[in-house]
Amino acid sequence: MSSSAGSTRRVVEMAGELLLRVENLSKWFEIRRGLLAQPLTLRAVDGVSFQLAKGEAISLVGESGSGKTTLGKTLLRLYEPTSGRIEFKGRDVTKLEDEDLLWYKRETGLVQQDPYGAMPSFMTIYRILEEPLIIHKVGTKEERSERIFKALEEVRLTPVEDFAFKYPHMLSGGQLQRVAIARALILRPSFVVADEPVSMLDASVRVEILTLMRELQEKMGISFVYITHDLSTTRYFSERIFIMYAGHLIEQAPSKELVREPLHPYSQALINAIPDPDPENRKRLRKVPPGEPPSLINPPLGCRFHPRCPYAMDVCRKQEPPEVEVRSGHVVKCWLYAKG
Amino acid sequence: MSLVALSVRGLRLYYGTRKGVVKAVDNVSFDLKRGETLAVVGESGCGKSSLARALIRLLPRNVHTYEGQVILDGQDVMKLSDEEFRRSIQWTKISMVFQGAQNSLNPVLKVGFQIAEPLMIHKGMPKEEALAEARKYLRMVGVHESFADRYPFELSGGMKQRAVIAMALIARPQVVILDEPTSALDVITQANIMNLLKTIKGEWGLSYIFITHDIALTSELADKVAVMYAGHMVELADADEFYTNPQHPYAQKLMASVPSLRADKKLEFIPGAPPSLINPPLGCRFHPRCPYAMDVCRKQEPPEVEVRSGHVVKCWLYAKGG
Repeated sequence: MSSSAGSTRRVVEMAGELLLRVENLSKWFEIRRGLLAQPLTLRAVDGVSFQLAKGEAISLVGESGSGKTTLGKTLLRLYEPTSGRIEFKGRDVTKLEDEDLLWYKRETGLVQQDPYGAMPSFMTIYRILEEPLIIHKVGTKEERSERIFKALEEVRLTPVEDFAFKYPHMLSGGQLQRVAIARALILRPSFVVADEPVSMLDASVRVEILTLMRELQEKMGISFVYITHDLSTTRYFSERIFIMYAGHLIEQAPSKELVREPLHPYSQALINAIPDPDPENRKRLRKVPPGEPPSLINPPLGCRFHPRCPYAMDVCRKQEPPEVEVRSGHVVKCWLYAKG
Repeated sequence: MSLVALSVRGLRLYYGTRKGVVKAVDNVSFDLKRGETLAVVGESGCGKSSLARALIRLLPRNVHTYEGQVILDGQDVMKLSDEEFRRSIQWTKISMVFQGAQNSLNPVLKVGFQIAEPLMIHKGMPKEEALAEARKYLRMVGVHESFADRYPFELSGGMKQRAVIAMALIARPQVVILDEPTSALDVITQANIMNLLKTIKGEWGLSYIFITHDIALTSELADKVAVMYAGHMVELADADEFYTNPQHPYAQKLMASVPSLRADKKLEFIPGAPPSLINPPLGCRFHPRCPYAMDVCRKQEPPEVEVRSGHVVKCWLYAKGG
């Protein structure tokens, strides 16, 4: 929990069995600027706490540089956490090593943004999908082959024999992203992070890939963190939406509620900024705050949004806001909602 | 001055490649009035950016066919030689904000100098005067004029985008092509840039051609919407009509695939992929993906049918007695 938040400790009601509990997680990067200079600290993720139920999908939304990718990678232990705690299936995984870490990696999966960059160009699709099975010593050769073909079928790259022995450059972006999804799911993980999985794809293909992901996620009961900057797709593919700003998790709420009634001034701005196709839009200007997110090397004191916030008060400039649970399951990190 | 800023008839741009001729823009016609914005939408590879390049004549080397009529301010600019076009039309009558504009600034030149360049090169303005203009335009797009003396890396993404817009406006063109002008920006910055473009449009009576794959975003600027598919313009309609009542099956599918933040709607997607432009399907190019495809669609190219005044659809479904 953040430094000032002791007063409003929150208990989020979980819909189902708890899978992941994240407490006060931070990931800071040191930036060295020459031999003698004092290294700078970039606070990419700062004091993030949340819980994720089994089989639940959440969307993690924020602008570029808000720390959402760093948070995703830290959750998967692809980055070492600087401080805080990650608890997975009741087990502290923050500092796991060797065999134990391998277990955690087997339980988790990642789908990256750029499918072209994520696939080794010299391997066939079959080999790409076999790699994780070999590393984790799963099955015999025949069992692996069976599993690979089944995985291709699940992501509907059919006929599977046609696709299995192709190389990545022979596939379209949408097809490659299906391979990436198959690879992330092949070890049957219970927790997957998808980092902007469709932002490099065409609009019409995006919906197709997201629908497929949602289907597989529900069918296999996987918990999903869908990282995106595109708020308009989130409500279709997740139960809850989390909003990040400058390394902080500033609002968590059920998807529809967040879109209908955002509480944090930044979430409100974000939602105001997004157009729905409506010919009236061209006749009016959008109410959005000026400026851009702050540097994470020397973030503003107090609330990090205060320099752009239309409601900024004195306290916002001085003290980090507490996380307030305004309604059941709707948590906002903002002084406007702090009682007393 | 006429009411029509830009009139395009039968525009074709084909590229020659080793595999064959790519028909990127195939027989496209439309009119753009003064102060009006035409949004051009479609999937990637449907010819949107090629249309922009054909209009401002920034062509790659492998052009195979480049023909048709482009009447800009009453003059058929297709009759001009490349040199004449560059001198008297490019940037001064029609300019462009490029896709990924943030990377289209030269990293080793000061921002102010780059904004002033169109004036110096295309209008022959002395350097001092042009630099003073650049500062004025920078202020107008909402960037402090001291940034004129800085290098691009010192500007944020949104500021660079504003600088590129200033560059496109400085020679006072009548038509500005915006090719995915906000694609690399965050949504709040994007909304700020859209506000800027709306304000400028209102004050100057500029005509925009706004190219994007983001249909929701087009509604921020568009007075008219054109849908491109495989090099053809398959629908052209007023914004009020297009967003509520698209007619071409492709346009309908495209609209159904747009996620809506506020309305409850079921999302659809278009199965399959756009065809190759080297050997596009016979007849209507959308027929392999079209749920209403008829026999005639597989054989003959559909006519352009005016279903209502100003609403043109290139589809057999709307052809009378066809």
